[in-house]
Amino acid sequence: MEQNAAKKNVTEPAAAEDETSLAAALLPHAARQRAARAFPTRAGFSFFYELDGGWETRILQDDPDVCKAHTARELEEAFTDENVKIIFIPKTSAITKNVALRVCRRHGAGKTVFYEGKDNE
Amino acid sequence: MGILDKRAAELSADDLKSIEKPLGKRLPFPMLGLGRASSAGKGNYVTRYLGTLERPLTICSERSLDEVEGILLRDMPTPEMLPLFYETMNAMHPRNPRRAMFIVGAPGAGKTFLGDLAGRVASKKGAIKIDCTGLNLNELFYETVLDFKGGKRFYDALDDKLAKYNEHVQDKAIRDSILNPMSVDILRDSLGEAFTEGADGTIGIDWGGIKKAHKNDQGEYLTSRQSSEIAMAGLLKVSRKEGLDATGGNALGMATQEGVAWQAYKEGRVLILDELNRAKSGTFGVLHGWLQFVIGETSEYIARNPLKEKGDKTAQNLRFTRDGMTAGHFVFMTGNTLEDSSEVLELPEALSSRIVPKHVPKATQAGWQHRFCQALTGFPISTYYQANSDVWAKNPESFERDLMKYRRQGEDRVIPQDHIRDLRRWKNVLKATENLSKFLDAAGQIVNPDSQWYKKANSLAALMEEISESYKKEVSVDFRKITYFLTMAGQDKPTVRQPDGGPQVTPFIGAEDMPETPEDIREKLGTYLTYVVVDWIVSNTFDRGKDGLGRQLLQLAEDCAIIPPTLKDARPSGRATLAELLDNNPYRSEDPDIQAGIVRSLLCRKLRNTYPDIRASDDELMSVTMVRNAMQDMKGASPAGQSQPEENNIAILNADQATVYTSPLARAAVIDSASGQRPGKETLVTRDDFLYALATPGLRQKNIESLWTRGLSKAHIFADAANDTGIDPAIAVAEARNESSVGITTAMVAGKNGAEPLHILWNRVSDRLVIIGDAPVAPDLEKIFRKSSITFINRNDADATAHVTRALQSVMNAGEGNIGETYLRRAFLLRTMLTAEGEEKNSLAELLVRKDTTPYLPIYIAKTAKPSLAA
Repeated sequence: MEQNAAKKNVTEPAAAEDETSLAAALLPHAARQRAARAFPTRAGFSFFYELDGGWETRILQDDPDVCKAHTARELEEAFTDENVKIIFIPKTSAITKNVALRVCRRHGAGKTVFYEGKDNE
Repeated sequence: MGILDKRAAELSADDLKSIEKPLGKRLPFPMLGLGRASSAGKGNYVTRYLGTLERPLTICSERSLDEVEGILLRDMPTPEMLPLFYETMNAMHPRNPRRAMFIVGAPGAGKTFLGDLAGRVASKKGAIKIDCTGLNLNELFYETVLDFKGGKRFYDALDDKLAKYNEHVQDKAIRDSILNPMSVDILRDSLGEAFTEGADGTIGIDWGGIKKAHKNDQGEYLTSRQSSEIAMAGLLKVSRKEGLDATGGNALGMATQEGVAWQAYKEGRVLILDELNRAKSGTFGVLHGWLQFVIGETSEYIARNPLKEKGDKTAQNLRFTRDGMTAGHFVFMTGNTLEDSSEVLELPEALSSRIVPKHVPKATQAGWQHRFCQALTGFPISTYYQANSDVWAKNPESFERDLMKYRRQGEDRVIPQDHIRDLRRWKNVLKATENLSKFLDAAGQIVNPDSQWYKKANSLAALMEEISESYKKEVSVDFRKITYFLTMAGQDKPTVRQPDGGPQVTPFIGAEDMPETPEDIREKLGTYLTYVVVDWIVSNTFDRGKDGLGRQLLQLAEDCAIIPPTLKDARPSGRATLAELLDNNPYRSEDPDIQAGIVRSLLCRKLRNTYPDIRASDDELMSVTMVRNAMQDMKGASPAGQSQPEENNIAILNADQATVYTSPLARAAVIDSASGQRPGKETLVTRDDFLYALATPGLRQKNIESLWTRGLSKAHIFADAANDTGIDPAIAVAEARNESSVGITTAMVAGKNGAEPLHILWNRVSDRLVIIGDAPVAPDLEKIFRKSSITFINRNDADATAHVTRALQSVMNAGEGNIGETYLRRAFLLRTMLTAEGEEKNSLAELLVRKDTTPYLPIYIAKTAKPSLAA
């Protein structure tokens, strides 16, 4: 039994590491799915989702595969960048919902835009 | 550099091979064919017909074939637009010298969508689109914009201020300290349409829209230079006022750059000139030479730069050449017809003779259904099915697999969860969208006195008086109505309690439909969509004194099963309503994981109610897996009505604390007293246990079916008034046989004061259940009932009769068959008798709530000694 316990102790850290890396890999996708649970607005070919905070917003904020846009100019650039598929507009940005939708409709490329609503909106 | 960026003249055979994608080779792609047919009624005639491509269509694209297939399947144009789509894809091949198309049609017909689709499928960059409304067409070649690079620090600083301003917009003192109110006024005036203000006071600047932000007194847009100059002047003032000079505010500048025509030419992109025939009058001249070049009549065109100034880095001229044209460049122009609006200009003949317009066909009902399916699921289920219906009808599982596969294939965007959920119930979506499309197609004609509808039906001539020209334009029905209805259906609606007295009103949205969260509205999409459609009818007709039109549209909505029809002679209609087809309810989910999760939470709640000392969480009490296994075990037990018709089994939640952790479900027997057995009241299952069993997802269906025994017919107690089918209709109703869509029975359970009868009505087609009992149910059970389409009525309530009347309507309105109240009364009286006279004068609703009824031959729900279901 002591040998088994010893074996168990040897394998546990590796197992924990696997779980951590799996969680890290899955979490961004789970966050996107959660953020996409509401009905999107179709703006051009883009899906525009409005978020109201929550854990998924924080994950999107930290996701390196998600492009963050803080100004309308950055949003335009994100739309012209072929490699950008998902855009996150935080509530601290200078972009209002009206402006965001205008930019979406102006571009032919279809992207996913997550817009974090401002406290007053 | 992509292949489409290369010059068309320099493309090699390998280049062409790599961009030519065969659409329709690997999968059946819908297309509209043209042919001749004959029929007895029509004789010989020419017709279009929907089928699938026999020979693949070549799509020139830098994308992979997977992406091309995925995009074009999901965003497929409507069936009537498919021939235009085919023509467009052929025209875009680099070998085709004629690189332009002009499409005209009514607003909302899909012209711009087709151009956008062409651009998007060709490359990931998509099309360059410009709205030509009021535009000076010289701007297509040269335009003036703000120089953001030169004044980057200023623009960053201003954006920071905007962000902070919006954060504190509700606090006047703080927001005014961040951005002076006078600065806001200056921005508003100088940025024109590029400056936006929300209802909450937040402000935003669409920097990309600055070049087309101001109009003159005639309503025509100023040139980009003029617009940029006005913006610049305002920004300089704001810079000084806000102390942003140090950030470069005193060095703001403008830049002249090549316009979109040159950009698309150089980058190999589709250029969409939207609303071309609404451009600024007098500026079409600049298009002549350029379009001659684009359509291949000339090999060169030079656009001169009227804006060039000293030091300006732009070229004096732009030289478009045939040899220099990139492979992906294509000009897609759209416009409305002259009949659509007085603002639509007639194109100069020199232009119109060169770019002969293609007209968008009139929308069809199939087109409406196509668009609705796309809006709900992101996939045109109806067209994909109909084009290959003979194959899919034989193999619906394969169809569903295709739907799930192609919804995801090559999709870059995050897919809304609702799309996947609605794709899984594609049959319901097909039926619901068929109903909606019939309604909208017909409604569009009813509100248009010039339509074929009025030419065919003289009786509708009276309606024409209610429809003026302006009214017709205001309520015109085009594809944009789909987005309108769906958006409105996603918003909260008022639920209103009616005071006593006055006619009984059944609200379209009742208390049970009130959402707790915004997502809950989506769970009731069908209910809310019904409300929105009826509200649209009422607000555009009855509320405006157009009663004849309103009645016509309401009748249409009833005929299309948008709303339940009014009960006539107790005859149910044959179609499910929008609410029944599109409302999502986890309590009625087919997903075994969802079912097991809900059953577990029901079970744990029941345990805590029964044993208040239990503090463990649901996960600690039992696992979902255990519950799921128990449910599968129960479903595998002998089916209802087969081995022992007089005794069926139902699954109930096991409330025995000692055994529930290993056996979450238990069995109970349904014993028909017509067989001679009458269990004692001490052996009966409690009322709550029985009611929970009828609501439990995954078990509900089997439990409800188990209630209908064959005891009455087997006992031959009643003289058989059999008809040609061999069974008395009342007995068929009492046993809920296949001949009857509705069943009625009386079940005995253990109530607080002894044995309690519960009268139960069930519509097997709509799966609606109505239960009448002697006492109210607990609030949490009531909530579960609402979600499970179960109506429970306490016969001791003051307005019980009215409730039962409404409930009867809902049970009898949906489903097939022709079971009227007469047979329901007779069936009810097979198992129940009245102790007082006067039954023949009472309606069924009155009989069901009478307290002087005695169960005569009820069914008994009894505990069983059979082992509980093991986990």
